[in-house]
Amino acid sequence: VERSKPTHVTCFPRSVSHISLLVAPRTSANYFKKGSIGNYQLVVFDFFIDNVKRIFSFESGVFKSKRYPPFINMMDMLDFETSSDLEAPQKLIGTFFGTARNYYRLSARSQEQFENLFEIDVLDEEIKALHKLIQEKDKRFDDRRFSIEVQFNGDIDLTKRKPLLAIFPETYLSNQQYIDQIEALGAEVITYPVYPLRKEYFYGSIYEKLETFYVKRGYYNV
Amino acid sequence: MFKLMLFIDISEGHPGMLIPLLSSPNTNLPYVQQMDEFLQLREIVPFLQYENYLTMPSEVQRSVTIEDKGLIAFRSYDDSVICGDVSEVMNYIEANHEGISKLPILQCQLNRIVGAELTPSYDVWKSVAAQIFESEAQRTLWVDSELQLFQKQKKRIWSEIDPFEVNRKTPDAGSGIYSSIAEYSTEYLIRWLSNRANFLSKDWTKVWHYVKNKNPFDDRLIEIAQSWIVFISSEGADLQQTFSVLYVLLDRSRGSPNELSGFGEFLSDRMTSDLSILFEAFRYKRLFALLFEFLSKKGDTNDVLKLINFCLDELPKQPFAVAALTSALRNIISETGKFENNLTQVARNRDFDQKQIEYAENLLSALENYAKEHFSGTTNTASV
Repeated sequence: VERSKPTHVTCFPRSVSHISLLVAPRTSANYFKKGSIGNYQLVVFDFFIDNVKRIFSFESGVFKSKRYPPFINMMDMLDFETSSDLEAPQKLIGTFFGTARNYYRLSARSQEQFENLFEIDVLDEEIKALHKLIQEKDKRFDDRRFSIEVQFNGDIDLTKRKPLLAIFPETYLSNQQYIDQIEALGAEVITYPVYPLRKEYFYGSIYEKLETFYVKRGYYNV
Repeated sequence: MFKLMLFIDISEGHPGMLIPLLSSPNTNLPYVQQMDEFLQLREIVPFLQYENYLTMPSEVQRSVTIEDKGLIAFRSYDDSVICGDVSEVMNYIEANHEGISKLPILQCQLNRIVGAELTPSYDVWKSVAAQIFESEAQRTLWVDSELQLFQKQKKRIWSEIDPFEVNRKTPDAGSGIYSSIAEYSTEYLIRWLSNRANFLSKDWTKVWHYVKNKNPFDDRLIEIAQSWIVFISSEGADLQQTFSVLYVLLDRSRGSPNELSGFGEFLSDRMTSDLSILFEAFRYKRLFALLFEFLSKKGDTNDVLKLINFCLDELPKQPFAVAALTSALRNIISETGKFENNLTQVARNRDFDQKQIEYAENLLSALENYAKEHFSGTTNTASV
């Protein structure tokens, strides 16, 4: 359990000015697997931006699969790429949500507040589209519609970049060697249930448990 | 009806939950169950990734279908493997309470099945935390996170999950598709699948698998699946989402030499224009093998050689991949033998030239040498 290969990283906030990363790697590496059986192994870091390749305000894979509403998918994906500003994740959260907790719960500023605060002019079509995307209630567009995605140029060496937290299925608690490896990295541990087998239940459990971590460790206290 | 085939050993040899892997008599696809909060079986979804997990064969014979009580499996305190529906498992837990209670980590997992109350659950969480974690802060965090989940899972988590409602207007009913889909006739569903307006629906593959399982010999489904993959591809969407459907098409084409002929050239062309898809296909051993077996027989030779060359340069040379690529090259070269023997017949279909043959032979010789050095010739037996 030494390397994470994050082709895809979703940012979760510590505060508007300080964000931690939930690394959800899409890779065939042995230690990180995903799928309908819910064997997700995730690590959470303090925010870092070195070696960043691209930053999107949503999950780019969903965009490429044409699974966002037409008002987003009709645009060029690179119009939403913001890595030229390395503080973009903080700015996106501040602009669209205001607080870390609101971002985590995907509760955006109201239309009125948003437009009054930022005086969006007619040219900011991308910004308006993003705000509309967050408020999209159709369940077809899940929370990946505003999971800030940071792509890196290479692997993350977990022995050098210490994770704050590791999340994995509770069956792994029986594997003391695995737990020792995680603890040796300096990470705290939370686990989530395997049954009832249901992909959405795994997501829900992970969200609830991660929120417990954020609250207890003061990550919501801006 | 889906049959129990294997268990995915997510507990990796220790007492704990296992995940039943199912097979359908109509496709060779592996499937897993998706349940509701009452452990009732609501969906059965293809699961190609099982090759990446530890598995163990099932010694019991069980079969299930949608709306049955779901199959629950675990390795018990005495290493016996238990598999049954929720009533059977609850009976077992009651009869073996003493043995199970000696292993708090196992008990903690089984408490979810029996729906244990807060107080007994809390005691078990504390025992687990004391057993696993040294730091008091970590113990408290873990127990508190369990408590929080226990309190919220009824009122928040499950309420936010689609409750498998029946949507009478359209089969595009979110994840509730399987309970509503049974209300539609096969003809209606085939029309729904054929309608391009539905091609980008996230339920398209679910509906296709459902109809295919019920109507394994309906050739229209093969035609529709090809049109769908071509459409998805022309929209620039990621081909990965087509893998479970592609798997069924390729598996079926093995026994039907004349099927999918134009599709082979499309697929080799499409993959050559986006080689990164090979990294995704590489994650599924059986799909990877089927893909190259198919492409070597039905793809454009030039494109397929490019794909093989890319795999040799960029992908790890694992035995299954070397076996699949070796076998593909042999297929290509054997076609050239037919070409020499029967020029007029094959020349109509395949366009070999001497350079291609030499190139294929060079690649094959490099692969065979690699296999000799690294796997002592196991590639011959490992091929599909």
